[in-house]
Amino acid sequence: MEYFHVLIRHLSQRSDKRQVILDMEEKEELLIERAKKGDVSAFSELIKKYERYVLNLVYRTLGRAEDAEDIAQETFVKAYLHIKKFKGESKFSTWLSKIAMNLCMDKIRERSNREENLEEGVWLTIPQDNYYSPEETVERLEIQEKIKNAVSSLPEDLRMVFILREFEDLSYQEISEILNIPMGTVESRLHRARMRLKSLLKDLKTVEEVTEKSEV
Amino acid sequence: MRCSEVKRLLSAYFDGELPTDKSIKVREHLKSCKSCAIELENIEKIHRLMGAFPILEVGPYFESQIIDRIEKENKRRKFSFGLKLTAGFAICGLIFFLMTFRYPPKEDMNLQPTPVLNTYIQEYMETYNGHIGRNNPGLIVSVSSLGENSR
Repeated sequence: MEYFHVLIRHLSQRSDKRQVILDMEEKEELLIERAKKGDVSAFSELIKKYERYVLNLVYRTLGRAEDAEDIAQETFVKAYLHIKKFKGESKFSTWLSKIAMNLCMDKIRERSNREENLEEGVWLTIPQDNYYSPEETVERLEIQEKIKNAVSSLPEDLRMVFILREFEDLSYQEISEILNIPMGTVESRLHRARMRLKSLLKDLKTVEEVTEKSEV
Repeated sequence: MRCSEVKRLLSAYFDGELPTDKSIKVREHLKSCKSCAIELENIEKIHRLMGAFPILEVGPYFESQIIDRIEKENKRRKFSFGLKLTAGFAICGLIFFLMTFRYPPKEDMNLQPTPVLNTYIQEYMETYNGHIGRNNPGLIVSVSSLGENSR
Protein backbone atom coordinates (compact mmCIF):
# COMPACT_ATOMS: atom_id res chain seq x y z
CA MET A 1 0.00 0.00 0.00
CA GLU A 2 2.86 2.30 0.94
CA TYR A 3 4.54 1.52 -2.36
CA PHE A 4 1.32 2.36 -4.20
CA HIS A 5 1.16 5.80 -2.54
CA VAL A 6 4.78 6.50 -3.41
CA LEU A 7 4.13 5.49 -7.01
CA ILE A 8 1.06 7.74 -7.25
CA ARG A 9 3.01 10.67 -5.75
CA HIS A 10 5.91 10.08 -8.14
CA LEU A 11 3.59 9.94 -11.15
CA SER A 12 1.73 13.10 -10.12
CA GLN A 13 5.06 14.92 -9.62
CA ARG A 14 6.16 13.84 -13.09
CA SER A 15 2.93 15.05 -14.64
CA ASP A 16 3.30 18.35 -12.73
CA LYS A 17 6.80 18.80 -14.15
CA ARG A 18 5.57 18.00 -17.65
CA GLN A 19 2.75 20.51 -17.17
CA VAL A 20 5.25 23.18 -16.10
CA ILE A 21 7.34 22.52 -19.24
CA LEU A 22 4.22 22.69 -21.43
CA ASP A 23 3.15 25.94 -19.76
CA MET A 24 6.59 27.41 -20.35
CA GLU A 25 6.54 26.41 -24.02
CA GLU A 26 3.08 27.87 -24.41
CA LYS A 27 4.19 31.08 -22.71
CA GLU A 28 7.19 31.27 -25.03
CA GLU A 29 4.97 30.84 -28.08
CA LEU A 30 2.74 33.67 -26.88
CA LEU A 31 5.75 35.90 -26.28
CA ILE A 32 7.02 35.18 -29.78
CA GLU A 33 3.60 35.95 -31.28
CA ARG A 34 3.46 39.24 -29.37
CA ALA A 35 7.02 40.11 -30.42
CA LYS A 36 6.04 39.45 -34.04
CA LYS A 37 3.40 42.16 -33.66
CA GLY A 38 6.09 44.59 -32.51
CA ASP A 39 5.69 44.18 -28.72
CA VAL A 40 9.18 45.01 -27.40
CA SER A 41 8.27 44.13 -23.78
CA ALA A 42 7.40 40.57 -24.87
CA PHE A 43 10.75 40.35 -26.62
CA SER A 44 12.37 41.60 -23.42
CA GLU A 45 11.06 38.49 -21.66
CA LEU A 46 12.66 36.33 -24.32
CA ILE A 47 15.96 38.17 -23.88
CA LYS A 48 15.88 37.47 -20.13
CA LYS A 49 15.31 33.81 -20.79
CA TYR A 50 18.12 33.31 -23.31
CA GLU A 51 20.69 36.05 -22.58
CA ARG A 52 23.04 33.85 -20.56
CA TYR A 53 22.79 31.02 -23.06
CA VAL A 54 23.54 33.23 -26.07
CA LEU A 55 26.30 35.20 -24.30
CA ASN A 56 28.21 32.07 -23.33
CA LEU A 57 27.67 30.39 -26.68
CA VAL A 58 29.23 33.40 -28.38
CA TYR A 59 31.99 33.68 -25.79
CA ARG A 60 33.01 30.04 -26.22
CA THR A 61 32.95 30.33 -29.98
CA LEU A 62 34.92 33.56 -30.20
CA GLY A 63 37.12 32.87 -27.18
CA ARG A 64 37.21 36.55 -26.28
CA ALA A 65 35.06 38.27 -23.71
CA GLU A 66 35.34 41.75 -25.32
CA ASP A 67 33.50 40.67 -28.46
CA ALA A 68 31.05 38.34 -26.76
CA GLU A 69 28.67 40.94 -25.32
CA ASP A 70 28.51 42.94 -28.54
CA ILE A 71 27.84 39.91 -30.73
CA ALA A 72 25.32 38.48 -28.24
CA GLN A 73 23.42 41.78 -28.26
CA GLU A 74 23.59 41.89 -32.04
CA THR A 75 22.09 38.38 -32.08
CA PHE A 76 19.02 39.58 -30.17
CA VAL A 77 18.66 42.73 -32.29
CA LYS A 78 18.76 40.64 -35.46
CA ALA A 79 16.36 38.11 -33.96
CA TYR A 80 13.85 40.88 -33.17
CA LEU A 81 14.09 42.46 -36.61
CA HIS A 82 13.59 39.10 -38.36
CA ILE A 83 11.27 37.43 -35.87
CA LYS A 84 8.48 37.20 -38.46
CA LYS A 85 10.67 34.72 -40.31
CA PHE A 86 10.62 32.36 -37.32
CA LYS A 87 7.93 29.81 -38.18
CA GLY A 88 8.35 27.57 -35.15
CA GLU A 89 9.77 24.68 -37.19
CA SER A 90 12.70 24.46 -34.78
CA LYS A 91 13.11 25.50 -31.16
CA PHE A 92 13.49 29.23 -30.58
CA SER A 93 16.87 28.58 -28.92
CA THR A 94 18.05 26.70 -32.03
CA TRP A 95 16.99 29.61 -34.21
CA LEU A 96 18.84 32.05 -31.92
CA SER A 97 21.93 29.82 -31.99
CA LYS A 98 21.88 29.88 -35.77
CA ILE A 99 21.85 33.68 -35.82
CA ALA A 100 24.60 33.80 -33.17
CA MET A 101 26.78 31.34 -35.08
CA ASN A 102 26.44 33.28 -38.33
CA LEU A 103 27.44 36.49 -36.56
CA CYS A 104 30.38 34.70 -34.93
CA MET A 105 31.46 33.45 -38.33
CA ASP A 106 31.39 37.03 -39.68
CA LYS A 107 33.39 38.23 -36.68
CA ILE A 108 36.01 35.50 -37.13
CA ARG A 109 36.38 36.42 -40.81
CA GLU A 110 36.65 40.11 -39.92
CA ARG A 111 39.28 39.30 -37.31
CA SER A 112 41.34 37.17 -39.65
CA ASN A 113 41.25 40.00 -42.19
CA ARG A 114 42.50 42.49 -39.61
CA GLU A 115 44.77 39.93 -37.92
CA GLU A 116 43.90 41.27 -34.51
CA ASN A 117 45.86 40.19 -31.52
CA LEU A 118 44.24 41.81 -28.51
CA GLU A 119 44.61 40.76 -24.93
CA GLU A 120 41.77 39.12 -23.06
CA GLY A 121 39.44 41.51 -21.28
CA VAL A 122 39.42 41.72 -17.52
CA TRP A 123 35.70 41.89 -16.88
CA LEU A 124 35.30 38.14 -17.14
CA THR A 125 33.43 36.81 -14.14
CA ILE A 126 33.85 33.25 -13.01
CA PRO A 127 31.22 32.07 -10.57
CA GLN A 128 32.74 30.24 -7.63
CA ASP A 129 30.51 28.40 -5.21
CA ASN A 130 33.17 27.24 -2.81
CA TYR A 131 36.17 28.64 -1.00
CA TYR A 132 39.53 27.58 -2.40
CA SER A 133 43.01 28.11 -1.05
CA PRO A 134 45.18 30.60 -3.02
CA GLU A 135 47.26 27.75 -4.51
CA GLU A 136 44.18 25.85 -5.49
CA THR A 137 42.58 28.95 -7.01
CA VAL A 138 45.72 29.59 -9.09
CA GLU A 139 45.76 25.99 -10.24
CA ARG A 140 42.07 26.10 -11.17
CA LEU A 141 42.53 29.34 -13.11
CA GLU A 142 45.46 27.81 -14.96
CA ILE A 143 43.32 24.84 -15.91
CA GLN A 144 40.56 27.15 -17.12
CA GLU A 145 43.02 29.15 -19.17
CA LYS A 146 44.52 26.04 -20.76
CA ILE A 147 41.09 24.64 -21.59
CA LYS A 148 39.97 27.92 -23.10
CA ASN A 149 43.15 28.22 -25.16
CA ALA A 150 42.86 24.62 -26.35
CA VAL A 151 39.25 25.13 -27.48
CA SER A 152 40.13 28.46 -29.10
CA SER A 153 42.98 26.82 -30.99
CA LEU A 154 40.59 24.48 -32.81
CA PRO A 155 39.79 25.47 -36.40
CA GLU A 156 36.47 27.30 -36.49
CA ASP A 157 34.52 24.52 -38.23
CA LEU A 158 35.54 21.97 -35.57
CA ARG A 159 35.16 24.44 -32.72
CA MET A 160 31.58 25.38 -33.56
CA VAL A 161 30.43 21.77 -33.71
CA PHE A 162 32.28 20.94 -30.50
CA ILE A 163 30.81 23.88 -28.56
CA LEU A 164 27.25 23.22 -29.69
CA ARG A 165 27.53 19.61 -28.58
CA GLU A 166 29.72 19.83 -25.51
CA PHE A 167 28.40 22.99 -23.88
CA GLU A 168 24.93 23.45 -25.31
CA ASP A 169 24.16 19.74 -25.33
CA LEU A 170 22.45 19.93 -28.72
CA SER A 171 21.68 16.82 -30.75
CA TYR A 172 23.51 16.12 -34.01
CA GLN A 173 20.26 16.93 -35.83
CA GLU A 174 20.04 20.38 -34.21
CA ILE A 175 23.73 21.10 -34.88
CA SER A 176 23.31 20.13 -38.52
CA GLU A 177 20.34 22.56 -38.76
CA ILE A 178 22.21 25.41 -37.10
CA LEU A 179 25.39 25.08 -39.14
CA ASN A 180 23.65 23.91 -42.29
CA ILE A 181 25.85 20.82 -42.68
CA PRO A 182 24.97 17.10 -43.01
CA MET A 183 24.75 14.98 -39.85
CA GLY A 184 27.67 12.83 -41.02
CA THR A 185 29.83 15.96 -41.13
CA VAL A 186 28.74 16.86 -37.59
CA GLU A 187 29.86 13.41 -36.42
CA SER A 188 33.22 13.49 -38.17
CA ARG A 189 34.02 17.07 -37.10
CA LEU A 190 33.16 16.27 -33.51
CA HIS A 191 35.41 13.23 -33.59
CA ARG A 192 38.29 15.25 -35.04
CA ALA A 193 37.78 18.04 -32.49
CA ARG A 194 37.92 15.58 -29.60
CA MET A 195 41.03 13.89 -30.97
CA ARG A 196 42.80 17.24 -31.24
CA LEU A 197 41.77 18.25 -27.74
CA LYS A 198 42.91 14.91 -26.42
CA SER A 199 46.44 15.57 -27.59
CA LEU A 200 46.35 19.22 -26.47
CA LEU A 201 45.05 18.45 -22.98
CA LYS A 202 46.51 15.02 -22.33
CA ASP A 203 48.58 16.13 -19.31
CA LEU A 204 45.90 18.31 -17.80
CA LYS A 205 44.16 17.27 -14.59
CA THR A 206 40.44 17.75 -14.21
CA VAL A 207 39.16 20.18 -11.56
CA GLU A 208 37.97 17.20 -9.51
CA GLU A 209 41.49 15.74 -9.52
CA VAL A 210 42.90 19.07 -8.31
CA THR A 211 40.33 19.24 -5.52
CA GLU A 212 40.93 15.62 -4.50
CA LYS A 213 44.69 16.20 -4.32
CA SER A 214 44.29 19.24 -2.08
CA GLU A 215 41.91 17.35 0.20
CA VAL A 216 44.51 14.58 0.67
CA MET B 1 34.10 -4.83 -35.27
CA ARG B 2 37.65 -3.64 -35.87
CA CYS B 3 39.36 -1.15 -33.54
CA SER B 4 39.75 1.52 -36.22
CA GLU B 5 36.02 1.46 -36.91
CA VAL B 6 35.11 1.49 -33.21
CA LYS B 7 37.43 4.43 -32.54
CA ARG B 8 35.77 6.36 -35.33
CA LEU B 9 32.35 5.70 -33.79
CA LEU B 10 33.30 6.35 -30.16
CA SER B 11 32.43 10.03 -30.24
CA ALA B 12 28.88 9.36 -31.45
CA TYR B 13 28.65 6.42 -29.04
CA PHE B 14 29.54 8.70 -26.14
CA ASP B 15 26.90 11.22 -27.27
CA GLY B 16 24.24 8.53 -27.56
CA GLU B 17 23.86 9.30 -31.27
CA LEU B 18 24.55 5.84 -32.68
CA PRO B 19 21.74 3.60 -33.93
CA THR B 20 20.93 0.82 -31.39
CA ASP B 21 22.51 -2.03 -33.38
CA LYS B 22 25.83 -0.22 -33.79
CA SER B 23 25.77 0.95 -30.20
CA ILE B 24 25.44 -2.68 -28.99
CA LYS B 25 28.34 -3.77 -31.20
CA VAL B 26 30.56 -0.98 -29.86
CA ARG B 27 29.64 -1.84 -26.27
CA GLU B 28 30.52 -5.49 -26.85
CA HIS B 29 33.84 -4.50 -28.40
CA LEU B 30 34.71 -2.22 -25.48
CA LYS B 31 34.33 -5.09 -23.01
CA SER B 32 37.21 -6.93 -24.62
CA CYS B 33 39.42 -4.11 -26.02
CA LYS B 34 41.47 -2.10 -23.56
CA SER B 35 42.83 0.32 -26.18
CA CYS B 36 39.34 1.39 -27.30
CA ALA B 37 38.17 1.58 -23.67
CA ILE B 38 41.03 4.01 -22.92
CA GLU B 39 40.01 6.07 -25.96
CA LEU B 40 36.49 6.33 -24.58
CA GLU B 41 37.90 7.38 -21.20
CA ASN B 42 39.77 10.17 -22.97
CA ILE B 43 36.54 11.46 -24.50
CA GLU B 44 34.91 11.34 -21.06
CA LYS B 45 37.88 13.22 -19.60
CA ILE B 46 37.57 16.00 -22.21
CA HIS B 47 33.89 16.27 -21.30
CA ARG B 48 34.78 16.61 -17.60
CA LEU B 49 37.52 19.14 -18.36
CA MET B 50 35.06 21.33 -20.23
CA GLY B 51 33.14 21.74 -17.00
CA ALA B 52 35.92 24.11 -15.98
CA PHE B 53 35.47 26.39 -18.98
CA PRO B 54 34.94 29.96 -17.66
CA ILE B 55 31.37 31.25 -17.65
CA LEU B 56 30.46 34.82 -18.51
CA GLU B 57 27.84 36.52 -16.39
CA VAL B 58 25.39 38.86 -18.05
CA GLY B 59 26.09 42.52 -17.31
CA PRO B 60 23.41 44.68 -15.61
CA TYR B 61 22.67 46.77 -18.74
CA PHE B 62 22.73 43.93 -21.22
CA GLU B 63 18.97 43.83 -21.83
CA SER B 64 18.40 47.60 -21.83
CA GLN B 65 21.26 48.04 -24.29
CA ILE B 66 19.60 45.56 -26.65
CA ILE B 67 16.28 47.42 -26.42
CA ASP B 68 18.12 50.71 -27.17
CA ARG B 69 19.77 49.14 -30.19
CA ILE B 70 16.42 47.79 -31.41
CA GLU B 71 14.79 51.22 -31.07
CA LYS B 72 17.67 52.90 -32.89
CA GLU B 73 17.46 50.34 -35.67
CA ASN B 74 13.69 50.82 -35.93
CA LYS B 75 14.16 54.61 -36.21
CA ARG B 76 16.85 54.15 -38.82
CA ARG B 77 14.59 51.85 -40.82
CA LYS B 78 11.62 54.24 -40.60
CA PHE B 79 13.83 57.15 -41.73
CA SER B 80 15.22 55.09 -44.57
CA PHE B 81 11.66 54.09 -45.63
CA GLY B 82 10.54 57.75 -45.50
CA LEU B 83 13.54 58.75 -47.56
CA LYS B 84 12.77 56.12 -50.18
CA LEU B 85 9.12 57.19 -50.27
CA THR B 86 10.07 60.87 -50.74
CA ALA B 87 12.56 59.97 -53.45
CA GLY B 88 9.89 57.89 -55.19
CA PHE B 89 7.40 60.76 -55.15
CA ALA B 90 10.06 63.18 -56.38
CA ILE B 91 10.94 60.93 -59.33
CA CYS B 92 7.26 60.45 -60.21
CA GLY B 93 6.73 64.24 -60.06
CA LEU B 94 9.71 64.86 -62.31
CA ILE B 95 8.52 62.34 -64.88
CA PHE B 96 5.01 63.90 -64.83
CA PHE B 97 6.49 67.39 -65.28
CA LEU B 98 8.63 66.32 -68.23
CA MET B 99 5.77 64.50 -69.92
CA THR B 100 3.41 67.45 -69.53
CA PHE B 101 5.58 70.41 -70.51
CA ARG B 102 8.27 68.96 -72.72
CA TYR B 103 6.01 67.02 -75.11
CA PRO B 104 2.63 68.74 -75.87
CA PRO B 105 -0.25 66.51 -77.05
CA LYS B 106 -0.26 65.45 -80.76
CA GLU B 107 -3.58 67.10 -81.75
CA ASP B 108 -2.30 70.52 -80.65
CA MET B 109 0.73 70.09 -82.86
CA ASN B 110 -1.52 69.46 -85.85
CA LEU B 111 -3.93 72.33 -85.25
CA GLN B 112 -1.46 75.02 -84.24
CA PRO B 113 1.70 75.06 -86.31
CA THR B 114 4.46 77.27 -85.04
CA PRO B 115 4.41 80.97 -86.08
CA VAL B 116 7.69 80.52 -87.96
CA LEU B 117 6.17 77.83 -90.12
CA ASN B 118 3.08 80.04 -90.74
CA THR B 119 5.32 82.84 -91.93
CA TYR B 120 7.18 80.54 -94.34
CA ILE B 121 3.92 79.24 -95.74
CA GLN B 122 2.51 82.75 -96.20
CA GLU B 123 5.69 83.91 -97.97
CA TYR B 124 5.63 80.87 -100.21
CA MET B 125 2.02 81.35 -101.12
CA GLU B 126 2.55 85.04 -101.87
CA THR B 127 5.55 84.24 -104.08
CA TYR B 128 3.87 81.50 -106.04
CA ASN B 129 0.37 83.04 -106.03
CA GLY B 130 -1.40 82.01 -109.20
CA HIS B 131 1.15 79.31 -109.98
CA ILE B 132 -0.13 76.68 -107.66
CA GLY B 133 -1.20 73.65 -109.61
CA ARG B 134 0.55 70.92 -111.47
CA ASN B 135 4.11 72.03 -110.56
CA ASN B 136 3.54 72.33 -106.80
CA PRO B 137 1.11 69.62 -105.71
CA GLY B 138 3.13 68.66 -102.60
CA LEU B 139 2.71 72.10 -101.06
CA ILE B 140 -1.06 72.06 -101.48
CA VAL B 141 -1.24 68.77 -99.60
CA SER B 142 1.13 70.03 -96.84
CA VAL B 143 -0.78 73.22 -96.26
CA SER B 144 -4.16 71.49 -96.09
CA SER B 145 -2.80 69.05 -93.49
CA LEU B 146 -1.79 71.93 -91.22
CA GLY B 147 -5.37 73.04 -90.56
CA GLU B 148 -7.49 76.13 -90.98
CA ASN B 149 -5.20 78.64 -89.22
CA SER B 150 -2.30 78.09 -91.56
CA ARG B 151 -4.12 78.94 -94.78
